[in-house]
Amino acid sequence: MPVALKGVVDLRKALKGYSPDLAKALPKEIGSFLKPVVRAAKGYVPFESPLSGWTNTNSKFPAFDSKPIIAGIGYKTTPSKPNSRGFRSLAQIRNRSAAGAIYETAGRKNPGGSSRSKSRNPNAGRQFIEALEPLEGTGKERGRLIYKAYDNDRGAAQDGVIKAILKADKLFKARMADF
Amino acid sequence: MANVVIDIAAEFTGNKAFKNAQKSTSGLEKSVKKLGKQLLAVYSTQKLISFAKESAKAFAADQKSVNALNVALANTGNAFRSAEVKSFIADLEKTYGVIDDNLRPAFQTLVTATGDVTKSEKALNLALDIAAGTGRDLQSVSIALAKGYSGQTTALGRLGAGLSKATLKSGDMDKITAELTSKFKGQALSAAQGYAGQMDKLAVASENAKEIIGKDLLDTFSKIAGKDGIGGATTAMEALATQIGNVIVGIGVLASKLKSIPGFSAFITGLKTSMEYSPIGLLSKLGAKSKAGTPGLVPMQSPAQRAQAVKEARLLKEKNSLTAIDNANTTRKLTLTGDQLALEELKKKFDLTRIELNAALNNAVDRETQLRLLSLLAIHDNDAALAGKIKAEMDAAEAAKKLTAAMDASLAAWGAWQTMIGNSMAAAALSASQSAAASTITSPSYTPKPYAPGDIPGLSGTRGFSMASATSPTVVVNVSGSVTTERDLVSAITQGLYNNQASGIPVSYSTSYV
Repeated sequence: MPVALKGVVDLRKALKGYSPDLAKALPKEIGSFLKPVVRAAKGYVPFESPLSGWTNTNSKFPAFDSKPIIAGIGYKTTPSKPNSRGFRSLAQIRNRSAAGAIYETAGRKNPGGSSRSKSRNPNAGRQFIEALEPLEGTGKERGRLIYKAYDNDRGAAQDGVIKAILKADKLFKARMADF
Repeated sequence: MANVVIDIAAEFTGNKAFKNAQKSTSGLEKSVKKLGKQLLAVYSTQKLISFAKESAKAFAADQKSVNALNVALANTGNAFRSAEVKSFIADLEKTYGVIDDNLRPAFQTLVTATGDVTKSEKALNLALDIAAGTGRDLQSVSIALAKGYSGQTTALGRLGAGLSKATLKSGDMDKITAELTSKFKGQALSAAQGYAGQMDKLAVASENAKEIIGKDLLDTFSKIAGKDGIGGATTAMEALATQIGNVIVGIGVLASKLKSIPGFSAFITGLKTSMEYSPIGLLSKLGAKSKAGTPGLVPMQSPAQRAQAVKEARLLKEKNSLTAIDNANTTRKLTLTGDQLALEELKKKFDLTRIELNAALNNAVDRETQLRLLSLLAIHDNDAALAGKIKAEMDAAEAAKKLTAAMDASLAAWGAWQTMIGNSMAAAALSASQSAAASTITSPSYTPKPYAPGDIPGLSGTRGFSMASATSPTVVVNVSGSVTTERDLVSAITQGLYNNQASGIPVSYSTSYV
C-alpha cells in the first residue's frame, strides 16, 4: 500500500522555483532507494521462456522475450496524474512490457486458470500458471518480478523515499528561514 | 499498454472530488436560476413598493425645498414673485439639466443675500456657468456669489475663476459679475449639450417623474387615510402597491402570451382608443383635471407680515448699497495712494540734489564717503529707515577704527619694551667690559638698535636680539680674576647669576654683576 503524503507536489513545485539544486537532488535520492528493487526485479526475469510455446511471435498473445521485459522494468519519480480517486503517485516501480506484466501477475486472480478461457485445453490456464515461478507478496500485491523484489526489500525502498522527501522538505524550510 | 505499477508514495489532490463539487455547483446554479424565475414575480412587487416609497420621498424633499424658497421670497418681500421664480427654475432645469432640488437652495441663498429676484436670477445663471466652467458644485458657487453681494469677496477669489486682486479688492459686484460673465458665458449651455448634459437631463426627467408620482401617491393616500393622515396610509400604500405589482406582473405575462397572436398590435391601438372612453380612462382624465386645479403652494402672509418683510428687504437693500459705497470709497483711496506714490517716484527722478548725490555716490571709492553720501540721501528723502541703517554702519566703522588704533598703540608699547630690554643687556655687557682688570678677550661687539613690534629678543632672526648670531661689531669685556677663555667668562657670568638667585637678589640686567 502506498503511503499517503500531503503537500509533496507543492514542495516539488517550490523546489523547482526557489531551490533548483534540491529539486534535482530529490529524484536522484529517491532513485537511489528504488534502484536496488528494480535491479532485483530485473534479476527475476528468466533468461528463457518458461513455456516453449510462449515464444511464438506470430500469435496475438505477447511473446516472451527477456530483453524487452527487462527493459520495461524501471522506476518513476515525477508525480503522476491523479487517478480516479484523486491520488497522485509520487514514486513508482513499473513493469511496462506486456509479456512482463503477464509473467508478473499470471494466476493472481484465478490461480487455477480463467473460466472464460477459449482454449481447447481446459487446463491450459492452470498449466501455464504452474509453469511459472510462484507468486510472492500478500493480497493484491503479489507478483513474480517487481512485486517479488519489493516484497523481498521489506519496505526499505518505501522508507528511503519518505525519508528523502522529508529531508528535502526540511532543507528547503531551513533555506527559506535563512532567506 | 500493460503497466504493472507499485506506488511507493501518493498524495491526495482530490481531482474527482473537485469534479463532483463542480457538478454539484452547476446543478445548484441551475436550481437557483429556476428559483430566480419563480422569485421574479415577487421581486417585481417589492421593486414597485420600493419605487413608490422613493417617489414619495422625492416629492417630500422637493416640497421641502419649495417651501424653503417660498419663505425666503416672502422674507425678502418677494412672495408675489414666487410664480415667476417657479417658472424660472423650471426653465433652468429643462435647459441645463440641473435638478430643481439643487437650483432652489442656490436661488434661495442668492435671494437672501441680494433681496432682489431679478439680480438673483442673473446671479443664478452666472453661478450655473461658473459651476460648469470650474467643475464646482452649484451651491458653493452660489454661496460665494452671495457672500460677494454682502461685501465678502474672499470666497469668490477661491473659486479659481481667475479674478484679479484689484477687482476683488474693489468689492464692486457689477465689475466682478461682468468679469465672471466674460469668462464663463455659455459654459452651462455647452455642458448641457454634451453627452453628460443629456444624461443629466434624463436624470432630471426621472427625478421629476418620481416627484410627480410621489405627489399623486401622497395626495391619494392622504384622501384614503382620512383622519389618520399619511402615517396611517403607509400600510395601505404598500398593500395597494403589492396589488398593483401583481397586476403588472400579470399584465406582463399576458402581454408576452398575446404578442405571439397575429394582429395583436392593431388590437392594442383600438384598445387605447376605447380606453379613453372607458371608466378607467374617464377616471384618469378626472384625476388630471383634479391635479390641475390644485392650488399652488405659496405661503400666505398677513398684511403686517408683508409690511415687515418689505421693510426688512428695504433695509437689506440699503445696507447693501451702503456697503457698495464703502467699497467704492476704499477703491478710490487705494487708487489715490497708488497715484501719489507714482508721482513721488517721478519727482525723485528729476530732483537735482538727488542726482548730484547719486553721481557722487557712484564715484566714491571708500566706504566712509559712501556712507556719508547715503546719509545725505536719507536726510534728503526723509528716509528714516535708511538713515538708521547708515548710522548703525557708521558706528560699526568708528568702533573698528578705534580698535585698530588701540592695537597699534599696544604693539608700539611692546616694541618699546623690547628695545629697553635690548639696551639693558647691551649696557650690562658694556659695564662688564669696563670693569675687567687683567685678561682681555675679544667678544663680538654689539650695537643696540630699536626693535620693531613683533621682534622677540633672544631668538634668531633678521631683527631679533641674538648674542650667538651677532658677529660684529666687537665688544670688549674685561673680567676681574683669571678668565682665560670665552667659556670661562660665560661660566663666571652664569655662576654670578646663580649666586644672586641663591642670596635672594632679583636677577635683572641692571643689577647683575660678575
